[in-house]
Amino acid sequence: MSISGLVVTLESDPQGAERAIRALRQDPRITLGDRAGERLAIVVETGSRFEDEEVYAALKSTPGVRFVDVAFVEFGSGEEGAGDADG
Amino acid sequence: MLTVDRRTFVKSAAMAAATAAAAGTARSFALPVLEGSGLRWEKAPCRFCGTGCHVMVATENGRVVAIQGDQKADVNKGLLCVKGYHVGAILYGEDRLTTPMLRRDGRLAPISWEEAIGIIADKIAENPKGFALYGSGQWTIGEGCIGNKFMKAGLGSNHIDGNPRLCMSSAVTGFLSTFGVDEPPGCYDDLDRCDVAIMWGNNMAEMHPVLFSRLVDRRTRGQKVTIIDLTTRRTRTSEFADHVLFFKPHGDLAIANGIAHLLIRNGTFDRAFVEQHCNFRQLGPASEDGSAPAMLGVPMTFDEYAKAVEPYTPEKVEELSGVPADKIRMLGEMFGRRDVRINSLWCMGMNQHTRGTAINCLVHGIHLLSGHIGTPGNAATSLTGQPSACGTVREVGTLCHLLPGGRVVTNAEHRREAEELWNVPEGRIGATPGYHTVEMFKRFNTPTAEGGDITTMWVQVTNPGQTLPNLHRNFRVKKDLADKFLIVSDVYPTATTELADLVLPSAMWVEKNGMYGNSERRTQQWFKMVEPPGEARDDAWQMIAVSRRLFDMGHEGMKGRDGRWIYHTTDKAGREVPIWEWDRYYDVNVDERMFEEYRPFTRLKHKDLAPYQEYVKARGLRWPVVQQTDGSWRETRWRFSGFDDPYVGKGKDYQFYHSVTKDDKALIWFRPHEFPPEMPDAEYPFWLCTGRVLEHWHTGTMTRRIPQLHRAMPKAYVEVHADDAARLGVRNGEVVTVKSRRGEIDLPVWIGGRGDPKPGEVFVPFFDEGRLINLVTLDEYDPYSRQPDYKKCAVAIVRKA
Amino acid sequence: MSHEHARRRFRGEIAWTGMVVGLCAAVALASAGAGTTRPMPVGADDRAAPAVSAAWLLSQPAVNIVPAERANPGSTDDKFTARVRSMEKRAALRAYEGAPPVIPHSVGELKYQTCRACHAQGLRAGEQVARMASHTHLTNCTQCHVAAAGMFLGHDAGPANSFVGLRASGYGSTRAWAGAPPVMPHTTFMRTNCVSCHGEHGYDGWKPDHLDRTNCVQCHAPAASLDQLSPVFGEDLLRVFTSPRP
Repeated sequence: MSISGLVVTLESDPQGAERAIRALRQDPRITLGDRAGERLAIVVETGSRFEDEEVYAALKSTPGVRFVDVAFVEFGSGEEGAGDADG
Repeated sequence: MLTVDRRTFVKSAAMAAATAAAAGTARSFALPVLEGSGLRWEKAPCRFCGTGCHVMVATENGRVVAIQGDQKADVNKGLLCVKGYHVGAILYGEDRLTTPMLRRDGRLAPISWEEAIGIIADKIAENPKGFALYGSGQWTIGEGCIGNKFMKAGLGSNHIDGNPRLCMSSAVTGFLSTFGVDEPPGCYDDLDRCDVAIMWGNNMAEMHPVLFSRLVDRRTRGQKVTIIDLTTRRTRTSEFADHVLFFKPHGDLAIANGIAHLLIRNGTFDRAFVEQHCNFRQLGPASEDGSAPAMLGVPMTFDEYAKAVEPYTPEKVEELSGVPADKIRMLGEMFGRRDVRINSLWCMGMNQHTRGTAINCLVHGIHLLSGHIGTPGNAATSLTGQPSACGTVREVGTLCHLLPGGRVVTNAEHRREAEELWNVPEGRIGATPGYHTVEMFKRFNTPTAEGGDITTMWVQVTNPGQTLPNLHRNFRVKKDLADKFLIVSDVYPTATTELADLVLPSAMWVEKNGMYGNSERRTQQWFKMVEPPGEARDDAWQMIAVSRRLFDMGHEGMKGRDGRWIYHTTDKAGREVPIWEWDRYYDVNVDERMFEEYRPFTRLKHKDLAPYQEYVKARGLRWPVVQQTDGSWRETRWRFSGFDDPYVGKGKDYQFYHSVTKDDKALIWFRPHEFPPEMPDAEYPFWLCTGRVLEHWHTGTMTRRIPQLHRAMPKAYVEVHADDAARLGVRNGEVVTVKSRRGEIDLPVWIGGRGDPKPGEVFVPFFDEGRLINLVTLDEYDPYSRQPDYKKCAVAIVRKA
Repeated sequence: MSHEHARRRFRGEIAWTGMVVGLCAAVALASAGAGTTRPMPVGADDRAAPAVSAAWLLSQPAVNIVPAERANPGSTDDKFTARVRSMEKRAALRAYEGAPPVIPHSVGELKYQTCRACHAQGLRAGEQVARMASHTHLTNCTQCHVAAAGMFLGHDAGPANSFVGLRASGYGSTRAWAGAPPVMPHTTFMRTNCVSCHGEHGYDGWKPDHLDRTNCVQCHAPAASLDQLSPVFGEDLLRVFTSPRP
């Protein structure tokens, strides 16, 4: 399982941005979050790190998307905490 | 606390990070790393004072391991004081009480809960009218509801009082006399909006530090806040003040009258506001039997009022109070201005006062007279010392003359309503007020044959063995009276358990569900997070178990109208839950049940509370909390103000809708300056003032068990002015005897210490159970609030040979 | 925690390849324009006493700037040992991670300005270091910080207490990969002045080799399972996934 939080910067042209959002919405692996101007927060959930990178690459070439920034990546399924809390 | 699966958790974190990055917030974004993810964080109000900060409590493996200020909380916005930051450690003092104990042959020995509950039930059944319950402003709202119902509806006895009697009952009588209804019209938001803050004998920097920071931190944001410290000694608050005005003990009465005098003489009072919204009052003549005139007084005209304050010229006030006449003029001119917002703040200085009701009324009076009330920043703000003095005691009504929701036992209609809502037979509730605190303890400490008609007392969540004034007379006599039986529910050994015949170990704070109500009408809720140690159990359960035992013994009072037990509780399917059995107690949320039973009581005085579940979601809500057309619940910040209070009639700026005079007007009182009952003389030449310190909360039973706090402030001391020390020939640190007509204790002298009294005055904190200053204090009290004056009595300082 | 134990743990963490929390924060932040430096406090005390007003402004901590020549790359030979020692030094003054530290020296009563004399800018005098305050706008210092021992009233152990506080997780496992900037292993609320601990008068082993870079949060993200932004703190963010979005 791989989960990442991304910031998609959309084209300033509203039609282009709308087209990109429609495309993103169709992908079940993507959850759309809040939009601040041209920047849109999304979360991508995929089966593997490899697939995650695929989605990332696909996003970058989606019409209406100018760039994609990574804000958060989590992969692997190790146990939580793992003795880290007692420091 | 929501429990979520890992996937949802990580997705939420990812979205948080992406959202923050997309929004470009200056906070940057949060990325969870693994440390701390085994923790469970839950909200709770702080256990200590009446400010009502919210904390986030981290638990791990069933123990509290960390505390944070709650950034979502309106009150404290993430900040805490040093006590709040260490509040988690109060659970872990190694001498926690963990088993019930009965005194046998002078020593406390463990017994079972079964036996303990039986002993209490037998004692009550033996002599129900000789039983008194002494509660606390640290009782949760649920506990207060249970205790009040147990006494007034169950035993038909009004001998229930609480320690807020020692703490803020003068504030209550002040609000009742002025507005006809208790509790402040304003709220903490006034701290954010005022231009001038006046401390009336109030060391806010140490006693309500989070609120004080809310005020002084405005300065670092470039705002102008003028702080005027009216005080008898220099404190940490004085350090932040623009004007430090020292007054002689009891001089506050003269100062307030001096301000009123100037408002009238200069013609700067708010004529329009006074004409529309105020009436004038004074006390009637004393009655022939020598008792005090009726609290609500007699009407007077404006002209009579003006004549009454006429003698309080700045020069006369200087003579009475010691504050220079030009400073009195400064205050008078300030109140005369419409363009500054003034917030008066007080706590024990005005409340622990043999003229406590009078000074409370006078301060409300000058705010009314000058129109400095009811708009944001203009307020008379009474602060409380305990976390639920307002919520549990003032609102639930756990005092000897009150019924829930602002009702009084002397009013037949109020009794009938309470009997109806409690579902007990008509006539169950007694019409005569019970004994107030000092009277209750006096009677308990008087041989039964000599009129000491209280024979069994149950004390919960408070420490009267340290806090009562004149302890020799009011607490320690009991030691030699064989037929008196003292039951104490507490978490640690205290000066009260020392004389107890039966000690019950209690659960505390996040070891139980609870609700508190703070100083600004804010009702707060929390859930149990960890188990209490050993056999410690909830105070609420203890009362419920005794009630059930009495019910099983056939006690008529523990039956309601339908013949069922007064705390009859059912599950969703309608089956009775035996909440008197400890292992079934948490099968239902008793706290929620009691709160929902209590809610309908709150409507009469427009102190409406929202359903319990609304408080689960919120960081407290300020009443009246009124449901909106869309179903949401809206809190009220400024009561009686048309722009905010939904109970003010349409189109009205202000409406004091519980007015004493039934005409929507508040009362401006004239009360004269008077001298206190005991003043220094040749034999006892010093004024003694007692109080608190930042590090310790009240009697220190919790804070003295927190190493960081205890080490910072390990013991009590007596602050003496350097001139007096030189005259007496005592050095800093030297142990002296502080002696009054009632008792004496030894204390180290601190010159130029935490606070600095004026020559002729000394100060002693009361947190130290090893050095009980209340052996020395005076038990004179205000005739209306019955609150003792811990701030003034005459003592001598004696060098040890 | 002994040094040896800590050292083992530290190595273990390097080798630990279970769950990795990844980060490409720098790009996201840079593009989002986040992580601006703290503005200089503009508020001035308005009191009549003239000394206070000027002194007040001067006593405010500076922004996170240390000249390059005063940055101290690798001042300690054994950086790891220094880090662990610093963690212990820091923990010794706190009841738990997140608690306000107690004051390890005697304090005069009454004068809050006294604190700022040393702690506003930070100060080193021989072996003694007064660290710069990690937060700027709060003035009532003794509200949260009390003396470790009452100077005047003497020492007294007092009743025992068995509270065991949360410890800082410390260093390790906060990088996505070798070379990635580490995230902050601590909360940032009231700890906005990074140079307090990481600057010239900061802790040994915690000073970066690039103190001349001033915009810390450009590259280092707050790690905030303790910071009340994170979903462990409750319901708000979880609503994103429990309610349908438009």
